[in-house]
Amino acid sequence: MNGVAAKLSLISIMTIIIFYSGTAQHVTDFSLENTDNELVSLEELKGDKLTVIDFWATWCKPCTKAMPKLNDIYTSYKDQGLNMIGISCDGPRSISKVNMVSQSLRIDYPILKDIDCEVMNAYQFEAFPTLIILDEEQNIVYVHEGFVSGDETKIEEEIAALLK
Amino acid sequence: MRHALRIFCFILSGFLFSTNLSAQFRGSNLLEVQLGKLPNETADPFPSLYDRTILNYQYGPLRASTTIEQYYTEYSDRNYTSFSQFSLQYMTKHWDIKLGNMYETLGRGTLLRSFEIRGAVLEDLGFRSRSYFHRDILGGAVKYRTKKFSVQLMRGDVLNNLLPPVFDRSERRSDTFNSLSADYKYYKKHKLGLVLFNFTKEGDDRNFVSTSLKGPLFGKLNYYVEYSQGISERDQFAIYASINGFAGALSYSLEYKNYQNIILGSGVNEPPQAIKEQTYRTLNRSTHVSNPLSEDGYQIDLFYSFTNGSVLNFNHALARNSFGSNDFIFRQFFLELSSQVAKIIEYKAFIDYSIDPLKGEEDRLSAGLYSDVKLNQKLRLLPEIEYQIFSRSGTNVTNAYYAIGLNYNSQINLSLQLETTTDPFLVEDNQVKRFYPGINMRFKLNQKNTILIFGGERRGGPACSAGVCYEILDFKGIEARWTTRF
Repeated sequence: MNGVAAKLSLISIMTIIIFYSGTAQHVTDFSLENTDNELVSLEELKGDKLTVIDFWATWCKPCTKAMPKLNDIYTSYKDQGLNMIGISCDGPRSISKVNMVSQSLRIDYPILKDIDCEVMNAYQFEAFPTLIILDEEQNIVYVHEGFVSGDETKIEEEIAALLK
Repeated sequence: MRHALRIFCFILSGFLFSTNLSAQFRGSNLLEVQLGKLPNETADPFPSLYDRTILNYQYGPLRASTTIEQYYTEYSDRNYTSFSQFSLQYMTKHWDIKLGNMYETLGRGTLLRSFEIRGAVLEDLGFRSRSYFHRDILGGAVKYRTKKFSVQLMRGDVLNNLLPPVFDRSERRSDTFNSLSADYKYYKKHKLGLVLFNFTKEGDDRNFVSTSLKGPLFGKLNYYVEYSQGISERDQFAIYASINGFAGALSYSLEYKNYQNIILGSGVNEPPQAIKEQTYRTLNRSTHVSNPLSEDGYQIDLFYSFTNGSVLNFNHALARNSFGSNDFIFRQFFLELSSQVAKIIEYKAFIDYSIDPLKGEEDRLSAGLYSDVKLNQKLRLLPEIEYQIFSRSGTNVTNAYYAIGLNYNSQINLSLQLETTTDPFLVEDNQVKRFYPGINMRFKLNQKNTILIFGGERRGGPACSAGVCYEILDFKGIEARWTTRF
């Protein structure tokens, strides 16, 4: 009986994965503390045209490799309706290093702290770093997981195309 | 059969309700198949299938979610299909109400810490069944917050994550707590936190109080202090403090800890380790794991940024464990340089010296070099090497790790790996060295689907990820994983 249940449930899950082609995911408003211990919301921080959210952690080497390059993109496009938000998923072990790491990398865009990583979990992203781009309606229009050098070019091209 | 019907019902209702334009139905799935050899396993090769599905429905401020886990092998006593999580959440600007399974941490986790380690599917040598590695809370929470203050009331049963879903709920969740927590912004950006915490396990009822303070100092420095104390049991306490800041190109973080008798139940809490979490293979395996029964110490972390973008990181940690009249003092000194050569080679080089009396590892010296060489616009070569030597009970042990990887356009990643060790605990009879060769392949099919394939032999042992340390088993064979979002 267990075997039948397993097959049925696996088949049902696979069916929905293969055939479900949902519309773009919408990110609902959330509030998190920034590096100054102030509670801020997505509504307050979102860009006029695009909002880039980078999920990262201090212990994640590709994340800290990506951040200075993302900061360059932010500097180039912040006057064109783009805002960028870094959400740290550092737990109790490393959350005290979030300010230090973002300062040492000279990050200018706002950094928020999510000790239980609730925002990233809600949208079921698995990898660090994960970068998402939201349109004006807060729909996810682009997702980039992981980071190797050269990825910043792809991300920038995507932003430039979306801003047109 | 009952579980299969439940899944059908959830999916059907999700489809129906998501036809409403303001509703969303989404999910993710992780499917992993193993065929190989595991420690103490008689079947060789041993086939197994693990699947974890998360289904999520959202309508305005209301969110419903369920997690289905399945594990199947040739042994029926290890197999299961389980609705391992179910949750309802109502969230607005001021209110956050949760019912069911949830993740919550109070302060820095000295009294309550839950977590989910992404992608970690664990098998315990004792129970021989695989499950997702997480520690969640089954209960309810009501939070009200403004920019000035927040108040939260919570009650829940915490998961003992050593027990897989083949165990009953009552066995897996025998630790119960009630908490009332609040924080108040009292002066500019300074915050005061207070937690009243009641913990019950098998009739043993205990109460704790915790206070915390955090805020900026002198413009360039932030502090955090947390003190948790048993109300009746005065010898149960945790003190944690940190300051961090920057001065020009130098950023720093200093942490202090003193934990005495502060292990609650099966691990409801987890005070900050104040030990650097290392991602390098040899150092990650050697990470000192805090023992909140008796541990005090500190950590210093310094970053210096050069004008050319290079970053130098120095870390020093000390942790003292006292058992009876014996003190065991762990010391670690770590130095790392991240830099670039001629704009086509990026590298990280590290050296680490540690003394770890609890593991009996004296003069542990580790060094490594990780590079990223740009071959052309789409192709990158990733050579990695690590070497570690130490002495244990008069025997010299050497660990080494070599890898050469190729990355094509961030979509395809191939990596050949070889680990070696002369550790007498791991080397087989009549041999002086053990080899762990393997190949890792990752194919990112699109923004929603990724396939990972491992073939070869993987060294088990301690591993730390996202701030949590655990044990993984040796494995020899083939493992394939498909992760998807929909």
